[in-house]
Amino acid sequence: MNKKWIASILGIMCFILTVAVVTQYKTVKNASQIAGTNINSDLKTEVLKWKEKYEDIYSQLGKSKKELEDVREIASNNDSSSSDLQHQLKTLNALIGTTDVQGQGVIITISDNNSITSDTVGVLDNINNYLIHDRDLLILVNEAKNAGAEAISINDERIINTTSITCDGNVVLVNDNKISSPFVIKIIGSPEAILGAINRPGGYLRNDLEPYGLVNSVEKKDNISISKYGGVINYNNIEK
Amino acid sequence: MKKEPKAIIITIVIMSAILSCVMFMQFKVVNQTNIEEIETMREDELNEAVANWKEKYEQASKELEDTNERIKEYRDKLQDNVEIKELVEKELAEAQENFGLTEVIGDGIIVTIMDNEEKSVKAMDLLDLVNELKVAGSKAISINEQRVTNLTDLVDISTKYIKVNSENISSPYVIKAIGDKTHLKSALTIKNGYFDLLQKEGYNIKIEEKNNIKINKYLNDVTLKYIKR
Repeated sequence: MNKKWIASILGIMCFILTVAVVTQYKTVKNASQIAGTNINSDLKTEVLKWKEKYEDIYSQLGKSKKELEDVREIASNNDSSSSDLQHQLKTLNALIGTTDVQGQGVIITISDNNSITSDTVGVLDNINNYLIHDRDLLILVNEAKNAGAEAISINDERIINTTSITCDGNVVLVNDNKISSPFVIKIIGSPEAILGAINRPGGYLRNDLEPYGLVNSVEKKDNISISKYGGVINYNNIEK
Repeated sequence: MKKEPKAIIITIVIMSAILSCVMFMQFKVVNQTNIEEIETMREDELNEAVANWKEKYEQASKELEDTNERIKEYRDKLQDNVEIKELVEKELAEAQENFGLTEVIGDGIIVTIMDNEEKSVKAMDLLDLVNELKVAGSKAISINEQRVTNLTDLVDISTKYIKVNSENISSPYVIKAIGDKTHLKSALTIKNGYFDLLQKEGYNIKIEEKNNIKINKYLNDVTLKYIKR
């Protein structure tokens, strides 16, 4: 009885270990195949190296920014003459997109209509009508701004003043980062004004997206968090 | 004799647990490096990616230096118990410039689009143009002297009027953009690009490169009502 137990436990363990070793061997082999052998491998390592360096310094930058905010806050508490200035600074940073923000607003979710394929689409219809395009997002962002939106993000890419929305094959580029369907558009602002503008009959969402089954939800939310822009804002070109 | 099997089992279990942990850690590392994306890149694309990350790194590293310098300045003032007004003013001035609350001058391009008898320019045409200019790296844009900020919207009011920053404007539409002028111009004039498209639609469109373009500041109020502080 006892021996059988030991034997079977040992057996199972050996089996699991073997599977793990084999899987890992394969993973490592794949990885080294990708990075290895061809002429470009040095360049690939170089890309990874700079990417890592950037990510490292970017996370340090995030911490420093937070620290700066804290020390500024403490300093202005002692100094009444600058608390108003500090207030203005915070307002601008929130609108520029360099800080995380919270507030009430609306979350819109839209996505490609996957039930239609190029085989099932009607002869007079176009498969492109059933996909979300860069322009759809551009129009919705503009409508949200028209309704007084104070902060907007699409799939957590913060919309800042230099944000462009374009397409690159099957994905959409926002702030030069790839995002894809489903698209979650978070908007902070007056929920009534935004819902009114977005939901109005004949408006873009109801007229141009909904008939093709592209709209998942439009929800009013009391507390939406929108993260700051994930890069460094650089305005070096401009002279003063 | 009775104790031995137990000891063996416990040892094996512990060893297996350690092994599994090590393996999972390793799996994670291999996953994280995210090699897939660069796997398919060609040599020139790889070179571009290196230059790209390098530039981003340098920007971030400069920004980090500035931020740390600033923290130090605040700390010093705090320690000496003197006013920090000057420091906040400096940061505020920068933020105002970033948002578009200051007038700016620089090289760039000026695009002029006009209505004709049959067709009038739509808000969407201008929205597309602004987006194209941003893709091409424009740092400041105005439409008929209305500064384009992160709060700016473009809406058709009637066939003849478009609303920008709650101001009604009409043809001719003069769009000023500061940035690398050659790059901005070529981005708009590539084959089947913005210029071709609008001309095909029958609009009168003109693009010129220019030095020392002056772009107005944003004139509307900047307040927050819905973002919590």
